[in-house]
Amino acid sequence: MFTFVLGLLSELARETGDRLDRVLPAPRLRRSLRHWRRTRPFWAAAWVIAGGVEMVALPLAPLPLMIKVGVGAMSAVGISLVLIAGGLFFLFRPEQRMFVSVVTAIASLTSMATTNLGGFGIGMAAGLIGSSMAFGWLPDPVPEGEDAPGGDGDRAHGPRRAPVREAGATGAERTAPGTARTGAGHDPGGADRAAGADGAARATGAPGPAGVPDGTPSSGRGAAARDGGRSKEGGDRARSSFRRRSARGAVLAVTSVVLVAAAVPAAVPAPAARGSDGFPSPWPTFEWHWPWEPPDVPTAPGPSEGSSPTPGGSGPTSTPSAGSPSGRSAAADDEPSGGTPSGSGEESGKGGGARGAQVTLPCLTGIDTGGLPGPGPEPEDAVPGEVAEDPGDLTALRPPIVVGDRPGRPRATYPISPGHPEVRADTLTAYGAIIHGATHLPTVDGGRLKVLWVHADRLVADDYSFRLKAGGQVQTIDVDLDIPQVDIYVTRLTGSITIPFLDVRTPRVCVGADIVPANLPVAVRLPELSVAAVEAGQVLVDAETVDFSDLTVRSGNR
Amino acid sequence: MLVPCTLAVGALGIAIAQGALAASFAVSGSAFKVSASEITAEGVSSFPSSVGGSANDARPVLLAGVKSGTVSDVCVSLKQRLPLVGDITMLVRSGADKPLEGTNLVVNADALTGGGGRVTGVEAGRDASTLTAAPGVTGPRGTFGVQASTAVARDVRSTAYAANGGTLTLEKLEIEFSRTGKQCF
Repeated sequence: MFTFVLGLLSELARETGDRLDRVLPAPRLRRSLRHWRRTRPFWAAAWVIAGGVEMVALPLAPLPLMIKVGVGAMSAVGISLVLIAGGLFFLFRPEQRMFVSVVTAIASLTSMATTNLGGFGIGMAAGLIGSSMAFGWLPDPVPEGEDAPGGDGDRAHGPRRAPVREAGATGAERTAPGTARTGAGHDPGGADRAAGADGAARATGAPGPAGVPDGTPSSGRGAAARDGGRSKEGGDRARSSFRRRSARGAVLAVTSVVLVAAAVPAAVPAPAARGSDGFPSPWPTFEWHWPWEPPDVPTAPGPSEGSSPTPGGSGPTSTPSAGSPSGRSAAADDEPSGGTPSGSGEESGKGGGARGAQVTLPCLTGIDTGGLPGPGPEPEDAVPGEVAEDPGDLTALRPPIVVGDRPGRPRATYPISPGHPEVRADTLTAYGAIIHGATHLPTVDGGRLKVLWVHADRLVADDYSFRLKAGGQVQTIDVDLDIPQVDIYVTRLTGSITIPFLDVRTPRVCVGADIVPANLPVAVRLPELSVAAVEAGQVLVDAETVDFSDLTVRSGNR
Repeated sequence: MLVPCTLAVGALGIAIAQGALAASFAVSGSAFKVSASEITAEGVSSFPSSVGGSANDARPVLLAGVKSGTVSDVCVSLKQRLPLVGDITMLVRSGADKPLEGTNLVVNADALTGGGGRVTGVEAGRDASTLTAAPGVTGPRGTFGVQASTAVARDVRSTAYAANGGTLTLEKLEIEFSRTGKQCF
């Protein structure tokens, strides 16, 4: 069965190759390339390199990320480099193919465990096929140079090659008919093809020992008929074996081109295809000149050039530059101007639509607005990341002064980021709220941020919306939240407070952290605090547990 | 040579399918869709980041690092346009019977929806350069970061650009290629 499949495949290969040979342009160029190809395990190299390229194309990511991830990504790079290097060895040092093919085979096997099951199996399979091909490759024992253009050259070399090729031809004849018979017996559907293979094999083998023309009456199918036609013009074994080899090469070329094109991104199929099929035209056609010309390597540049746009495309990391002072100050400058019209007009309109008529009062500060419009110069203190320069405030970054037992959990101590998101919620209800007043939180760059600090035994937020601008991009989160035991730190808070029992809403008020003295030794406890149409600059949320539902996270450019 | 190699591949495949050998994953480049019925994670760090080359074609994503986690009933689909073949979709399913286990996962997602869940030990606002929940995953200084000690999310759907798993132990992997454009959602 195995030999039958092989025989069938070789017949298919020959037929396709014959057709391709007639169809493809530039026969002289291809002949020269063919010679170079046959002095080395060329298709083995193509498979191995394609496998390596496919393997590394999957996990390509910005380098810092790949390093961070460790084994998975870096081993993909390492193994694919081994495979590509092995392929180059096959091309330029074919005499070392034995050892190198063992190395590439082991590397391909290793890739299954370390990188994406070997590039989802594809890269590993290509690497194994190529390694096996290279391992089994033997240099052609026939002196090279028989492919001289023109039928005379072929015929002249014919007798010299005859013994070698004859053995192969008769071998093919011996196996093919027998397997064809079994194939016909087992597989009625394949009987037709099997018969074709049978006839073709006999037609090839027949001229060897018997010396009669091809086209034996027994077959009469496609390949045999063409062999018969060919025997009229040349009829020598050298030519037919030459054509068989070229046919096999052509099929290998086709499969390899498909594979390479699949491995390389769609943007660069052209160089890959051109590398395998043809050449820039102005080349001489003295073929003995060819094999040792290094620039002849058509496919090696193909895949490797093709792959280089891929790392280029995603190689350099562009980490958000939110942390840089310039970016931050620019963002901070943007914020008030951008927020000014929307804060009064659009937002109140929106809140009114959703919540009933809401009037947004001017902020109650006069000094600091926490980024909202206010009289006088731009506030300094609540700008994200700015260090409050109040020489009298010596309590910063120390535990708050507490008279008696301060309720709730202690203040968060870890460093916060100076850039903070804007959050909104349709309603925010805090049960068991403890309003600590204002305090300072340390930022990562050594500064501090003045914030309002509220603790709640339970906080329920409807349609909570989180919007973070950083480095030219916007992250938004929409979610419903139910958070027990939470500490919230905000730069400012706008909203209309619902008065308990009366169920009346106040106009929207705005409180910035800066009008509240820091670290007052008092805390206000409210059993229930409900705020509607909330907007806040949320610096920090510290919670033991967060229950969420209807979560949607989006990333976008600003 | 092909025969022993094939045998070795079979042995490796069996070892991975049995969960004896942890396979390592790292995928990126184009967007792929992930859905899972439940995700549990221990040690989560997250901050905004971007994927891609130059500044103009960089895609903003939310980077999430997970120290260890499990995923139940996961589906990953990847649609790729191949030359000469056309659009082809690869669909991978696993974890229906027993959840996948992974360690040191890093995911870049640009969209995510979840039916609900619970997060504990939340510190939302901690600077990204000081995150500690997932080892080795820290962001640039001055970036808003979130970390949590545990997280559970149900009915998660996400569009991700890169998923890099330190190790992933799985059982029963179904891979399906199709040209009908069938995706996870």
